[in-house]
Amino acid sequence: MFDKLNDDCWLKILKYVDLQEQLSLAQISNRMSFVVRYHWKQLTKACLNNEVLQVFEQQPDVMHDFLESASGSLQHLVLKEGTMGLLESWKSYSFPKLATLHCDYRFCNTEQADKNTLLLTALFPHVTNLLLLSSTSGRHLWNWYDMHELDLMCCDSLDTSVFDQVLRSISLRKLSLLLCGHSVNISESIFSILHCANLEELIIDDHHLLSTSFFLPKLLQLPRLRRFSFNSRNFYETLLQTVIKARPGQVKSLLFNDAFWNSTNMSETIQCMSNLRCLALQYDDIVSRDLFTICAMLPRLEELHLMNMRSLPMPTQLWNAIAVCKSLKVLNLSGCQLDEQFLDLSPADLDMKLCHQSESSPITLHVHKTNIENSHEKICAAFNHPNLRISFKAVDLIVWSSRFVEIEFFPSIN
Amino acid sequence: MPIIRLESADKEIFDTDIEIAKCSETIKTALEDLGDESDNSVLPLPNVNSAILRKVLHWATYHAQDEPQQPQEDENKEKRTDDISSWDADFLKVDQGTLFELILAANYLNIQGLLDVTCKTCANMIKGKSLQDIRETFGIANDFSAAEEEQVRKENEWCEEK
Repeated sequence: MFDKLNDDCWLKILKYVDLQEQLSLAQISNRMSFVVRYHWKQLTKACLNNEVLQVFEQQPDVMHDFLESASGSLQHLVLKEGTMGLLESWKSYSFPKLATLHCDYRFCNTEQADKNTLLLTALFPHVTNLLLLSSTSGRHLWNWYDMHELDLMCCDSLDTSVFDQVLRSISLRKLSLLLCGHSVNISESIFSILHCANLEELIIDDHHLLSTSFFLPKLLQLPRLRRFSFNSRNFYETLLQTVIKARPGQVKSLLFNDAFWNSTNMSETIQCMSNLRCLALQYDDIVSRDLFTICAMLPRLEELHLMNMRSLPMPTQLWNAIAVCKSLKVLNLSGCQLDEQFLDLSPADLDMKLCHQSESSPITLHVHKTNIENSHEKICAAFNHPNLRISFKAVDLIVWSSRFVEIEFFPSIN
Repeated sequence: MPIIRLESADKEIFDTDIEIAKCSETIKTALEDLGDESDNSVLPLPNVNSAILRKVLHWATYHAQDEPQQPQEDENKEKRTDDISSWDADFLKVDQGTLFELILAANYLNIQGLLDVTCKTCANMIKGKSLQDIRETFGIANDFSAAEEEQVRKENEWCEEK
């Protein structure tokens, strides 16, 4: 039965089989072993989880078979807790294409963590993207001189002067510093970020930005900075005001995940972003007055995303806001509980609400995962208007799972 | 409705809506090569028997209105196998032999959607299984020599003790 399938088909199936089962398949028969090794020779991504680790520890031969085949092609490697001990025996292999590394060695002391970093820089010298959960001091990270994306999570032991040296040595385009909150030094360390002249994106916990009023205006002067996101502990209103003062008119899009609801004067702040093209809220809440003001006052707003909202304004109020938003092209209500009343518009009403749009420049309404999603025909009948398109497709926009604010800027004119 | 006559390996003729048949890249290319001569002509599919072709066409008819597939997923993206639609899951409640023949047919006919969903179903039969379980599930002939087998057995002692 098993032999019915040709190698070509097995190679397609193997793409969906996890590494630990691939390791079993490799030992099942000569033929499968050949097919699995062939698959490994093209393998670009591998995750060494506990199950794989267990096989590698018990059967070093299997690990070496794997490395012999895959080391040349691997581009992306995920090392889970506990795998560090094995890596000493990897020194005889080279990983010329390995550019993305995700490592977790949180639960060892700083000395050991730094040793681990040194070993990793020797094994995988070409890393450009690193995600690290570790008690690293930051030492040896500078060995990765090709690195342009650095994501440090839960790195509580970062040393200010070491971190400064790291950021002076490598030319980062993206830096993420999250949950490094226990470190007393981090708020001093953030000044080192200003060395990153090529920085395009920064992700950080917002409370680090409060200890000094000098940092943020200076950060916003970095010429290539395009995206700035912060994990919010409710300090974002002040921060956004600083952003507007520093880069008036340069904010292209603004995303809130579970953060907008807690603001007091946010709609006033947003009104000042006269070039704002996209406003997105997820797992959030906005009162109808704020929504109306924002829609009415932003002359270039093209996309309004209200996704998985805890509550929405009443249907009439929602439609009133849409009606005053002259440049709107996308209204995304994915994941929201829509009131039946939302569909209950007469053709004349619909004409009025969509009077600023045209057949050549319609609004697309996204209703993916809404309670009305399954009544395709009903929606299409209710919203049969030349200025309106309906989409049932998912829109992936916000990746954050905690309270986040994300700001995207237009490219700097200078 | 323009029709194409598909002939299975066992010589059964399937009069099929051209638009549905075109979900197979293989058939689509053949039709383009034939041009106008494709009218009423018979297209032999010597690698697919009638029982399997009937199932493939059933699948293709149900999915005829689907949006075209994204060109090629990002290779780095995790390959999910838990996103099989309930219709497809029911459709694929078949014996292992039929599943394998569907994979072969989808591969030969180059029907990406059917190939994806059948391969995912097969991968799900492997997931979470030990070496021995996989052997039993698929009735795999062990083609290792006695010495190789001993080697594998020794290497696996640790997991069989559990």
